[in-house]
Amino acid sequence: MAKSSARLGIGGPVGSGKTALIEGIVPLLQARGVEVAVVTNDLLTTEDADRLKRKGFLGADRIVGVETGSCPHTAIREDPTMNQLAIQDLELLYPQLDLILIESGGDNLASTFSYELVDAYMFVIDVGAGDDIPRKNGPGFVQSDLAVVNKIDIAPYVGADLDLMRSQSAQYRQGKPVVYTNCKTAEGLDEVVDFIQKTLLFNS
Amino acid sequence: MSDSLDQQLVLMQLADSFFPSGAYTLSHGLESLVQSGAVKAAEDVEGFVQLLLCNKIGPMDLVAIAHTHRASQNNNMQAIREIDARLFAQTPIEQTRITQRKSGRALLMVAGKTWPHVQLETLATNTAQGEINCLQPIIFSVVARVAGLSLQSTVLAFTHGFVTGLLGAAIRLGAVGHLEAQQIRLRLAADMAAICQDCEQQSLDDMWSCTPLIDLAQMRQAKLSRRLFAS
Repeated sequence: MAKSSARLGIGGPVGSGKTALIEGIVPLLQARGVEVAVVTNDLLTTEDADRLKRKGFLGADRIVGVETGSCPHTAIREDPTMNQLAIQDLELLYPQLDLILIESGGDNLASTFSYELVDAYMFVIDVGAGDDIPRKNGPGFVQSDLAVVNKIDIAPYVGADLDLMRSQSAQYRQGKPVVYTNCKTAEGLDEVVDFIQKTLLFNS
Repeated sequence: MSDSLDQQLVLMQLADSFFPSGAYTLSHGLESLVQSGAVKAAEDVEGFVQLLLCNKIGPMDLVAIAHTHRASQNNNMQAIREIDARLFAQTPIEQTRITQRKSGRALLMVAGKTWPHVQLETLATNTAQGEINCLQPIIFSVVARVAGLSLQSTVLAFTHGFVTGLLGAAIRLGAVGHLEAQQIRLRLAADMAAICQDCEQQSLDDMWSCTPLIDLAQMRQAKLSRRLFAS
């Protein structure tokens, strides 16, 4: 039987920094010897895929765009078949893959991944969207395997109370991990990569 | 003979847009026509769906489905591969061939685990080895047959799924509202019934389609810089 790669979903609202997070963690994963590919579901088709390709850290063939007919949550939950096909094709093309990242199109706080599509998923929110997001108890944020609170550097400029976010994230996620990141400076990204290695690749 | 309740439930399961086979990613050229302004209002959408039903789905896809259903009944896998090859040859638009194959593979993946059957396993092997194009209408027909649907129910389920999927896409594209979509669906009933009846008598040599405006839209779709749909 062919080796199957681990699959990690990345969800979160529009503009929270999902693509920036991928741009940040892929080079770190590669530096640790992890073979990676990306499936991206951006609403506007290949825009995210093109952005990742322009960065050039992954071969263009390792980044696949999947259209979602303006139903981003359907593509990762009710009917993930198009993403599954993209994953199958990547695995055939690159049997050496260790990890495939599946980036959801931006959606609301209720968007969760099907565990028939991914082995685990992260949910990215950003500080600028409001420090009340953790206590809104959104299924995506609360149930995800890792919550990522991004853009922590802008907290003082948008009036967000980061300490409140930290305490409420811990409270609502009931002990499940939360990482605080600034993708621009790579702050916190090593923690995300550690999570991936420990939870999905079993080689921390 | 009417379908048993079990068969009717299978019909609903297969025709339901809830059934996961990626159909929500297809607009069959509608997105391109909406972007170019060729389709603006509800009557345009109705005309678009009607044209596809009467000039493509009925005379081509349903005929292929009917013959595939009979071949599946006779356990003639070679005939199924030949019908698939003919349908492929009569689908000149590359993007349509790509999406038909993707939808076929998605359907086969889900159906193979829902209704395990040796014919579906053979189709999966054939697909992996490049011996069949795995076009969605062909796969749909075999799936429906092994799940216990009559030919009539199979073409009905296919037609219903196609129309509701397309109207859903039209709503998400902003071309119709939810009420208009239901009214259009009801007005299309006569055409839907007619093509479901006509397809059974047609030979494979009679398969045809003629939707040049929509074909051109499909070709442009693949080049749209911003799009929501795969077709």
